Amino acid sequence: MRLRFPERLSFVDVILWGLRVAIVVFVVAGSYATLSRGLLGLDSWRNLVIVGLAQGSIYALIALGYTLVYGVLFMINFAHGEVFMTGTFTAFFAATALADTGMLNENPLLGLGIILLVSMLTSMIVAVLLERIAYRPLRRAPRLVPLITAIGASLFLQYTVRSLYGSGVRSYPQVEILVGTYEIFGIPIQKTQAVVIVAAILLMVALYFFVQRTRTGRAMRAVSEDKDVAAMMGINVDRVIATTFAIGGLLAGAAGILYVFLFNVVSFSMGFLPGIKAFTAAVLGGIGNIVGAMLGGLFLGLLESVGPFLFLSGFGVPSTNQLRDVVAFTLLVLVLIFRPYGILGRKE
Amino acid sequence: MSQDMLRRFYLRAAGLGSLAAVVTIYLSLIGMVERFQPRNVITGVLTLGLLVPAIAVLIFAYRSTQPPRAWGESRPSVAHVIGASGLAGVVAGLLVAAFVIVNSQVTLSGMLINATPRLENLLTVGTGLPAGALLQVAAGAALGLAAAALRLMPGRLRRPLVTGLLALLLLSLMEPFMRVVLLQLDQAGIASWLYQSGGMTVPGAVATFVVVAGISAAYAFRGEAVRGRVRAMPSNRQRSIQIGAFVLVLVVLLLLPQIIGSFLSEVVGTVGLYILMGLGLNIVVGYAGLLDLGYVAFFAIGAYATAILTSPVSAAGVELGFWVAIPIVMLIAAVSGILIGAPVLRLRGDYLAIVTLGIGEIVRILLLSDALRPLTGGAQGILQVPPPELLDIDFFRPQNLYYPILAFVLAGAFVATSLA
Repeated sequence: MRLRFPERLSFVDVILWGLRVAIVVFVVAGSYATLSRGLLGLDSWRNLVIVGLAQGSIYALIALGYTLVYGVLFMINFAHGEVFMTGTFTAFFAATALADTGMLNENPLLGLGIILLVSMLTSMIVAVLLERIAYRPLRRAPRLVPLITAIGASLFLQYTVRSLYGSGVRSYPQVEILVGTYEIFGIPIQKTQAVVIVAAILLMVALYFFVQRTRTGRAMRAVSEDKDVAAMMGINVDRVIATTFAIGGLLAGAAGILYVFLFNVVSFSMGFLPGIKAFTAAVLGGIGNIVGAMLGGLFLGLLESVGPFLFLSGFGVPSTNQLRDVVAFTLLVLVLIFRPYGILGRKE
Repeated sequence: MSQDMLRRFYLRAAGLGSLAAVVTIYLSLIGMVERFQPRNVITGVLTLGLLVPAIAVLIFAYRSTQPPRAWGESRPSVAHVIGASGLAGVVAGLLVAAFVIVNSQVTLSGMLINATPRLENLLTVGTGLPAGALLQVAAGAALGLAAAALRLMPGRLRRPLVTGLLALLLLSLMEPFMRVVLLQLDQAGIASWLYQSGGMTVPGAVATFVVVAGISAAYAFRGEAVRGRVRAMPSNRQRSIQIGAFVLVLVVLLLLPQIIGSFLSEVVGTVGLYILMGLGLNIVVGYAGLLDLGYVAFFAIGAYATAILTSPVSAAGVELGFWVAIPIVMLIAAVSGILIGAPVLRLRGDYLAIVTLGIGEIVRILLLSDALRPLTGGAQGILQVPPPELLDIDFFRPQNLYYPILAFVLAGAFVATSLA
């Protein structure tokens, strides 16, 4: 950052600089206060880090959906959180059915596979229908119109699921083989957390190879560079966009099942917060950038897990876990104000 | 129409009929049909639960008789209009019947909570299965034919008919409101002649329809003449008519709480609050073009500021009066607007929307959190917030609280129109 003094410092510039200074001071002072008071032991911090990584992996998978859609359409699919939710909630019924017949514990891999398939397929169908019904007619509209439509679609999906499935919170049946802890290099990590992190990494690697090495992936990259020229080159733009939404849906559905491994419950409103946080992650990494979405997700997960306690307990703030969402939203606001193109993005 | 076009025309009609069925099934599965069922539109004849899907089918069937402009100028003949509309209706009826049959055979209610035998009973109007399914198809066909009739009749007949029916529906839905007003005006007799069990009586319905349709027909014949005469009047006469209308509306607004009673006054008061918020949001989104999704944070800040300043049990403990606190609260809200707005001013449209959404959420979580509990009361909030004080008027009564709200709404509207 080169220091350049502008001729006139406007009011907005003063506030922005004040904000930068305030944030840095706050973070440094808070962390110093917390660490010097030694409020948590090493294994507690380690635990927070692992939890953060696991949640971050889920955010990363959902963020990929946002980033892929932004890459081809330059629109933010606000309803993606609800895509995540519908798959997970529908798979709940499959899971209950499997648990009732005992298949879930006798043949766990097959059972989990079926549940994963149901979730991913449902999410994919919802995402494709969403694009077809809500976004395709608005392809040429000014930018704010699809955004507001997406918000409307998000509310519509939430309350449709609430009316169809009921407003209660449902608990997934427990899967025996996922109960317990592994010990890796002497660090205890719960089986669910390990599965989540490994599965997320596998899916992200698969997506990366899909986008970089296959024909469809190449078509997607072409459409995201220039839609009209890609059409001239013989690419069926409508189909590529539908495929993009479908892949985003598949990943969100998978993320849903991983979410359930960690949290065990589903409800009609479970999509809103993860959706916004995943969007934060996508923007943090540079929206439109796939690796950025993955890194952004992991970073956000870590920050959300470790941050509240690290920054705030030093000041004597009680119940810092309530403020995790504040940390996530503050990160969103700060990233968008100071670096909207993200870490891996470039100033346009 | 050509052979090929006719095929597409009928296929489109079938498609629209299926869409109508999807809408009906959706409304049933989300529970709307069942929830609306107890509401009578015309008591003893029609309930809201069945009316809503019927209207949906009617609209889709009507639409199926209008080929899209892109197909060219050829219009379908009378026979084909009836055919297409009837087809749409029949397809809709068949699919809904299929749904009812499937629902009766397979227990879906563990997953879809509204797919119950009650729903089946409702959709078949109590006639149970084999008869019920045929009834669905017949109803679909009837609605299709009705739509065709609507399409084929001359405009001068259709418009009064539709207007009369809409007025009937509106008056029926306004039953709680109208009944309260009539009772307050000592017209219990009219109330019980028009309404019964939440819906309109048959004679009341017929009378309403005839009156409104008559007025609509008369207006169609003579309305042009009346409008012409008004336009021909000198402008100061027109102006005094406008002022007269405005004064009339104002008088009605001032008298409103006295006629509508306590509960409805509270409803109208809440409407006034939403109008105020809408006026403010219109300035931000409409005049300035800034899509602010976190606008409601200012509502929260204003409310909490008022509570903290006026409540005897709040942290600040200053216990100011309402009218003293209002300017201070407005200042606080304005300053928070500046603080929130300044950093985000340079952002592009959709990023602005998301940042403001995030800020709105931050404000909400912070106000509810334990961290700020000493100031904001956490999840419990701040209690014992006193109402405004003026000359011993009891502002706990909604009818009285209405007037300050009305005053602020008028002031807000004045400011908003001046800024335009």
